Amino acid sequence: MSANQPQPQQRDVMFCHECENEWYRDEHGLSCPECHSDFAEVIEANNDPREDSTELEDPDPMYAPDPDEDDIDDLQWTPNPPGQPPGMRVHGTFGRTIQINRDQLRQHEESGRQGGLLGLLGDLVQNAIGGLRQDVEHQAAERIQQQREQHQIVPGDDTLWLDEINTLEARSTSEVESPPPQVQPTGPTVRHITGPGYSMTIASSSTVTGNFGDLFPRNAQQPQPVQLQPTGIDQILHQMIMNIGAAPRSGRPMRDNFHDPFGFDDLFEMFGAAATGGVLGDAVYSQEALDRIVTQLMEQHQSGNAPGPASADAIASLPKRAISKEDLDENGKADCSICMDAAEIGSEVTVLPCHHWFHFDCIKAWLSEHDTCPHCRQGIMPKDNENANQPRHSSSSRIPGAYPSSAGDSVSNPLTVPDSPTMNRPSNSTQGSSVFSRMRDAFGGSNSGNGDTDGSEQPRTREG
Amino acid sequence: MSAPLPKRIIKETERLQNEPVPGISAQPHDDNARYFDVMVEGPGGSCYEGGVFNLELFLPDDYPMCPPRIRFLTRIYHPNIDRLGRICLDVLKNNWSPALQIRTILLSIQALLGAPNPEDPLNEAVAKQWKENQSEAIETAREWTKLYAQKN
Repeated sequence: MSANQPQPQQRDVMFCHECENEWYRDEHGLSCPECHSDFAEVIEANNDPREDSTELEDPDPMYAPDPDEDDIDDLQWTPNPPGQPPGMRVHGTFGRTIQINRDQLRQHEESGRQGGLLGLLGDLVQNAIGGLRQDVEHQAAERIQQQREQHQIVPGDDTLWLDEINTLEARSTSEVESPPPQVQPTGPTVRHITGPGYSMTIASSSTVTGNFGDLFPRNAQQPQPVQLQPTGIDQILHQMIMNIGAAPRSGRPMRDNFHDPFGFDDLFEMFGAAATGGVLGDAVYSQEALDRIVTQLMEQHQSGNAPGPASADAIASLPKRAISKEDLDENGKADCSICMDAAEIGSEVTVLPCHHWFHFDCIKAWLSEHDTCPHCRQGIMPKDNENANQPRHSSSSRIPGAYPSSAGDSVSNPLTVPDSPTMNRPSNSTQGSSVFSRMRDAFGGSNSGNGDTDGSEQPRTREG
Repeated sequence: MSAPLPKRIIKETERLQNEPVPGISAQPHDDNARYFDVMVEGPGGSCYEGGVFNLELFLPDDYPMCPPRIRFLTRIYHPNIDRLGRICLDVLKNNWSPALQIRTILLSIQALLGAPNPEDPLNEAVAKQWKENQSEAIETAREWTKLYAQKN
């Protein structure tokens, strides 16, 4: 480490030659707080008494000497062997002393969250070490010492747990007051947390003074009290993600790198942002997600202002007749324009009030969804003042804007529909449907004989 | 395949092959007879003239009771076609009728290219440009056609 190395928060770090302990000079002075030896000196850039100073050689200020991080080396990163999902496996053992004063915690809660992320992590720590927030009656001893925490993290694809652990530690150490007296080591507590793309095992062995919250010493040789799992870790982490409010980079291919351990994106992805396609709650984080929602809305709106269904009674009481020679087109054929099957002479078809005919099953399927003639859009349901369950008769068809009905106009009317010929076809009902049938005429309809098209026809775009 | 292929789809496909519409082709996939690769030529006289536009067309299970789903795959500068190629056309939505067919729908789309309607936009930005500076918009559409909608 060179002297001109920028270092955030320049503090003298002391080194004890007796026990190799390190501490901040401004905290514990010149004597080793562990062994009280005076054989100590300040670690300087050009004078590092430690044997292994490689860590300080690292130019990254992230790795500035910090006594609190000295067991970071205990973290072991092992890449997953071939055949397993890409990623890393992290294994580490931390020695931590956490002492939490319950009254302080209360104050902390009353004074509100401490700085978003840290505050939430405080909750996380609280939960992890035994549900402090549950007001369980307990004795006078209100101290917990958590001596060893083992984190074993097996991420699914992508890993970003170093960050988490570091922050957790930072918080933990901030709670340290002084070494608590009289503690009893206990066996490890193992918790498994799983979710989309990750799984995590936290094994923590705690030493507890007093009966604290729902954390009990575990003793495999003895009957144990019910050990409640810490509640709400997943919710807390989710809330944490929402609090930060950054956009997850969804759609990005999963990487197997680990050189960006201080970003949060991978964390977000692990907590389901990727699984839901960039959608968290009511928020949309990616263009893809927005497009998907718009498409969905468009499809839902598809029949938004289309006419509703005709009643089953009205459909059932539509008149029927047999196909006759006059129904055949110039090619000697007559097709039901819904199924496109031929209607032979003598076969029965159902006739709509507009005189268009179809197979009963075909038109029933359509009218059950939309009360419009497939050709001219005239409905079969009567208007208000007519018998509600009877299909409308052509003689009573009076739609505002309708052309006057006149028999035999199918020859001269340029708006005829070439397929599904009608014997006695009244005019089209509305202006709009005339455009519609003109279009179909222009485009040839289903009539194979009518192949010429008129590209100048103006199609209508729909709203939105 | 989930639903059996209705005779109507077979008939429509046959007709599309045997009596093709000039400037339009629709070829079903070998492994999915409901999915078509569609090619539509830009109508003559329009700013899309000379362009060959690829679309995808899918016939849902309840076709013909519901419209086919169609999307432009080729990029196109058009007020009624958005960035993803979705088309704003009444007969594809509310005004669908089972008497319409693949070929009539494709003709409608070709006609839409010849008659952009910025008053009923799907692509607001393009529609705005179309209304405020039509000649520039048409020029952009021509450029895009040259850029994206050429054969091969």
